[in-house]
Amino acid sequence: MSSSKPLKVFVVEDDEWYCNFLEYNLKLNDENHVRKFQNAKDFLKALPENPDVVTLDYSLPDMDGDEVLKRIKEHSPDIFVLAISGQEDVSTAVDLLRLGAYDYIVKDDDTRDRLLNIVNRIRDNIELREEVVTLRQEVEKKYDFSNSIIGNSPVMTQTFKLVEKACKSKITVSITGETGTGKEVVAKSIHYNSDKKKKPFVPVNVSAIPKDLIESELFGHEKGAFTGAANRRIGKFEEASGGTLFLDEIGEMDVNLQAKLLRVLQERELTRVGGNSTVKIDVRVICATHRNLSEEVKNGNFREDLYYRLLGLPISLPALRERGKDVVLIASHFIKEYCKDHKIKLLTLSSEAKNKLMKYHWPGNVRELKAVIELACVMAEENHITEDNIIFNSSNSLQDILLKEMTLKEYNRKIIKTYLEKYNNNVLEVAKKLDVGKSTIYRMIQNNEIEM
Amino acid sequence: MKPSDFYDLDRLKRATGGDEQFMKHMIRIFIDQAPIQLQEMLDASEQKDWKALGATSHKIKSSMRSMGIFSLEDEALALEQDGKYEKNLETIPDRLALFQAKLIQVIEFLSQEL
Repeated sequence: MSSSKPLKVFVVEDDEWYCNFLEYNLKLNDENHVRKFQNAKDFLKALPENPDVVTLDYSLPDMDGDEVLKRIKEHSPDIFVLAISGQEDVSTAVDLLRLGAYDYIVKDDDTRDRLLNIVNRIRDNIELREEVVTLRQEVEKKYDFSNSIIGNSPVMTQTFKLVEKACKSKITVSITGETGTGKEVVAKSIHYNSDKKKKPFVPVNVSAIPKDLIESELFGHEKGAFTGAANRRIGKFEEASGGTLFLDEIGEMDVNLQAKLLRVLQERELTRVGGNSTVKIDVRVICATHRNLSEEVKNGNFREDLYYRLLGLPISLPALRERGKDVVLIASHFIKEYCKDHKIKLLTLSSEAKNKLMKYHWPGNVRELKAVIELACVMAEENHITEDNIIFNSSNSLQDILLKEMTLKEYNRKIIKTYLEKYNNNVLEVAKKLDVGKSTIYRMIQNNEIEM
Repeated sequence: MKPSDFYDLDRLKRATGGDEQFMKHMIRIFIDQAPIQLQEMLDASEQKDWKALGATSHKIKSSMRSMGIFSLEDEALALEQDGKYEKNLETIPDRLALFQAKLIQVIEFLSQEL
């Protein structure tokens, strides 16, 4: 058991013998702070002190148990109420359960064990509840606009406006953008800044789930629906009930399943695989794709009706290379994050390093930038990130070379040098491969334009 | 007459988890409390306040059960029910007198357990 926080327990019981009995048992645990009340009036006066637990004898001299319970719940629905009753009055105690009591205890031989078990369970419950609140606050903070989406370039300002509109409405949102532009981050930001933030955010990567499983993954299945379906399982739509379902890579969805998804979105109800009954759903859908869906519609790979159903508010995320100085802004954010996580002094970014970041074409967008910055933080020495610490691992090397903005003469020299290295300085073969005269190459060697 | 004709403290032992100090504590509270509750029952009967009789019988019944005082718990329940529903009212004074006599005996025996 945790020794973190004492539990404030109020015992409301008019029988002094029983009052003492409960008090003694509860005090066996030092973490229980117990106060006794022999009538409802005194107890209600002390209710603003917010006990964690109330043991409530339903037959008090001055007020019925259900009335006291009602007052407790009006004051705070989070207080755990344990109804205590005699053996003949179990039905009354059960009625209190219906009115919101957490559990009930009958005055018999097992009272002590039951009381201690229930109070321990409540303690765990309170700790979990507090943990959930803390985690939720952390998540909300993480996906607060100022922390999650960074940038002040004109294209991003435009995007922010759309994201804000999405937060204020329940409309379906479709997010497009190259890989790594932050589609899921935007989807989460919309969820955690909308009135659905206390409900689940459920992401599904359509392309990552095998075709045969995706239907059951989304809509759930009944027991025995197919080989291996040993139990009933709810799908992602039901899991996201009241919240947001994020369908990533929607462009990869099989055409047959597209028809089923369309029906679910239109009817706002689904049938689990292998089931007959329908289940109502209340879910906001946000979808994302790196494909151009309207092109996919033209090519017959995506249903037109589903396309329009999902389009809702389209948000197109710009590629990082179109975001100008945002690159440096985001890089600084990642550096800050890295230093905080690793508990080190804040690293600085040299202006040469900044230039190098700005010139790069970022095929992997923000995701790639994050990886490059993390590597740079590791490589940095003396709290300073230099140009050399910025190492690109992009597979698009031609693009890299073109972005160096050299003269044509310099490019020629570089190409010929690379070929000579590849073909063991065989000038004749290189001349043939590049379709240039061998004398051109010899001349460059002679003029020391190319070192061999 | 001996204590085992009136009560079985094994039940209290179970309810207190065998904690002897706790058992004695609860016996002491019963010895202090029961005469007051008995007087309340007698007063209620004399004033024909049957609801009050039912309510006090209800309270004393719970502690008698937990203490294992089998010789009185059924009668406490009967007095509770009769008081609550105002039944068998003419028999109540005689039954209360018997209840009183037994309870005094029980308290005497219990005092020796301390």
